[in-house]
Amino acid sequence: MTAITVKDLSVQFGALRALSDVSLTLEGTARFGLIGPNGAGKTTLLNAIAGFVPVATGSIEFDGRDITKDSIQSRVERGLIRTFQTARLLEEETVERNILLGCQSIHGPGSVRQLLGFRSYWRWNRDARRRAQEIEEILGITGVKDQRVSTLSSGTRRLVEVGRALIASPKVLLLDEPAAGLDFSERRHLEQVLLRVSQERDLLMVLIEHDVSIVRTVCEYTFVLAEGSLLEQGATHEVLDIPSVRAAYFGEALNA
Amino acid sequence: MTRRTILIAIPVLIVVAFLTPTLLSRYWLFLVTSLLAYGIALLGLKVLLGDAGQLSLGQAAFVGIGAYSAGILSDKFKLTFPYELLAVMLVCGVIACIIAIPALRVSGLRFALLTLAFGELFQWFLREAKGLTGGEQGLYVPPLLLGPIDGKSQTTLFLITLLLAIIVSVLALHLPSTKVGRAMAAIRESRLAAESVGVSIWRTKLFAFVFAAVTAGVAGMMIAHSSGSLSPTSFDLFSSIYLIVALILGGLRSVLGAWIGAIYLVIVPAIFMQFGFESVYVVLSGAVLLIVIMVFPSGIAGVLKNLVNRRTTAPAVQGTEAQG
Repeated sequence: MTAITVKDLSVQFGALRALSDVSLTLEGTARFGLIGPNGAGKTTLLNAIAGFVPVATGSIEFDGRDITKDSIQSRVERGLIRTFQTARLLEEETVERNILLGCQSIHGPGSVRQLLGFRSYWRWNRDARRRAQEIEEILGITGVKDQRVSTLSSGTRRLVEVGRALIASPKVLLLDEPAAGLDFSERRHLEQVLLRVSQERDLLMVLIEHDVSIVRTVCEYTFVLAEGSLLEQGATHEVLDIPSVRAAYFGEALNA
Repeated sequence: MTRRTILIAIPVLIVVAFLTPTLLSRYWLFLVTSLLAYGIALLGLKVLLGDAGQLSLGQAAFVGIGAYSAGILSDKFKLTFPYELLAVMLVCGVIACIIAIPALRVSGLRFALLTLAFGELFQWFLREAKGLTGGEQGLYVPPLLLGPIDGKSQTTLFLITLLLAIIVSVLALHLPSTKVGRAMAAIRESRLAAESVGVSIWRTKLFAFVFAAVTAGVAGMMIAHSSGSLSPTSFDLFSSIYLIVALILGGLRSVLGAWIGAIYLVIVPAIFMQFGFESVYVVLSGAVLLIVIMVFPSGIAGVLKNLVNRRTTAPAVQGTEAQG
């Protein structure tokens, strides 16, 4: 069973302690929400798990193996894939090519064989295209697959990034605010896509999200971070009703 | 590349291959051979700079390494053509791998400066290792050794260079659609995106760097045999810069752009020279470069592509205009 265990994790940026002694366990093919006010350390935690920031103290285990010091590349190859707060896409390339980019971690023939067009390369390439087509169908973006990404709405761009992350069949998908900048119907579509994907693909999904309604619909468990520490954790509907969480997270909203 | 383009391209190329040597004077055949050779070097640079986004100021040095090693290998070791070609590719590939160890650890401007330093080092070597390279005096290059075929004939050189140019063009056209080609695009556009999907940045850059070095070497080899003698100044920093300028002018991201760049580099100055306007060429090419960079960021190839697209979609556009 897929599991990520974070133990006493601290991340330091110069004088700023972005995360201090965070411990949590993510287990199974479930969907986990990560919420908290701005600056709580949500993205830092996700970055640390994905290997994008160095860890000061503590450890991260993935499927029983210590990955704290592993490179991003080796984590991706083990099936740990993330998306970004602002979609990082190849703007001048087509949707399909952007999604195909996600195949980098799928083992295949070496660069020279690709260049010279060996048969093993064409076989690999056909498989990659078939995967891309499947993903495009799941995400409902088959119609725009030949369009350049720079011409798309932000909602579709999000889906392209999710598609790029999904094509390599990851075990863990780390999503950093996938609904940011999406309108109402785009959000509902994204929710449905995430639910469907997690059920069909046996994924452990971690979702950083400000939109509580998405967290409620999508996530079974939720972790609340505040000021670099873990505040609460548990089943989503329970956590979201805890008074201290409401105070820390919705404080302003309640006052208003 | 669609099947139709291939079907059109093959007969056209065969006709060109057989007509060009009979129609052109020996001098023009020499120029066209140089054009093809520089085109090969520019295709390598297109992969390194256009696809992978790595600015190298040492590309002419690799052309020089190919040229000088071709001269030395064919003179001292009497290697016949296929072995000489493989040896030149190997020399350039190995040297590129060695340079890559420090150069690919850094990126952007620092990478450019490291390759510049390498180019200067090569210049120093050419001038100092007189026993091997002939120093400032230059190096005599014997004709290609081709067994029964006449290696001195400009027609033979032209045909061989044309064949190599076609092979490298096909590879360069194919490359962007491969896994490593997409990895290059990712490194160029967004390092974070590249890392997040597990691109090995070092390995991808190495591939592009070695590809550029080997193609530059092949180009150098054909230039060496075609011109018969070599001197250090043909492979200095300015030559590297001219390669970059030509590629940007033609179009950084396209194979067609590399070929337009080669025409700019070889044929245009020759035409100006024929009419005695050498000084005008420098001014004019500067002005053209300025215009292209400011108005057409995707180079002359981009302009041509737009024109073709506009022509194919013209009826619809006119229709809406008429309604408006």
